[in-house]
Amino acid sequence: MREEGLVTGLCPNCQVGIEARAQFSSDGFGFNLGAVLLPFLIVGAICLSIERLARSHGGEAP
Amino acid sequence: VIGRQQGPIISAGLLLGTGLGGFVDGILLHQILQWHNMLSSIRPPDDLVQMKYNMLWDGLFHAFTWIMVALGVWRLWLAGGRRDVVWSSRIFGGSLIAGWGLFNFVEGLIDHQILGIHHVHPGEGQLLWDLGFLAFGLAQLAIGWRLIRAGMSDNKTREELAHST
Repeated sequence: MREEGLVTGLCPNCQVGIEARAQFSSDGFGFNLGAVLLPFLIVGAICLSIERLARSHGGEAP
Repeated sequence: VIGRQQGPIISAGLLLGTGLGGFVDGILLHQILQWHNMLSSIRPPDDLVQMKYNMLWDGLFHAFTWIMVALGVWRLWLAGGRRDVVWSSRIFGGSLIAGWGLFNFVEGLIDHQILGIHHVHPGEGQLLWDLGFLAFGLAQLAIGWRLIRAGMSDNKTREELAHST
C-alpha cells in the first residue's frame, strides 16, 4: 500500500518543512533577521575595531 | 617593547570567543537542554511546523556564529604571520573568554531584555534566568579582561618563542 506522501513525492516531514520555510520567509522576516543579526554586528564591530584602537594607543591594547 | 602589537591577537581571540560562545548557546541551550529556541517567545514551538520554523532561525543563528569563528581563524592566521605580534597565551585565552562574555552580554541585552524574542529559561522566574545570563557574561568579560591585562607583560613574538624552546 502506497502512502499519500510517497505518491506526491513529499514525505509528511517534508510537507511540514515547506510550511515552516514559507512562514520563515513571509512572517516578519526583516524584524527576525535584524533581531538575530544585530548582536553579531555589534560584537563583530567591537572585535574588529580593537586592533585599530590598540594601534592608536601606540601598539598596546586599550 | 616599542612596536610590539597585542591588538591582532586580541581581535582574533574576541572573534573566536564570540563564535565558540555562540555555539555553546546554540548547542547546549537550544538543542541539548532545549530551554529555548531563537524565536520561541514570539512563536512557541508547540507543534511540528512551529518547531521547524524555530529550527530554521536556530540554523541562521548557527550560520552567523560559524562566520564569527571563520573571521577569528582568518585574523589569527594573519596575526601568526606577523613578526611584531606578541604571542601570549594569557592575552589570547583572556580574549577568548572576554569574547564569549561580550557576546553573552550583548545578545542577552538585545534578544532577551529589549526585543524579548526568547528567554534563557522561559516560565516562572525567567527574569532571574535572564539577569543571571547577563551577570555570567559580565563575569566572563571581567575574567577575560584581567587575563589580558596580566598578559601585557608578555613580550615575545611567535618567532622568539620558537627559538627559545
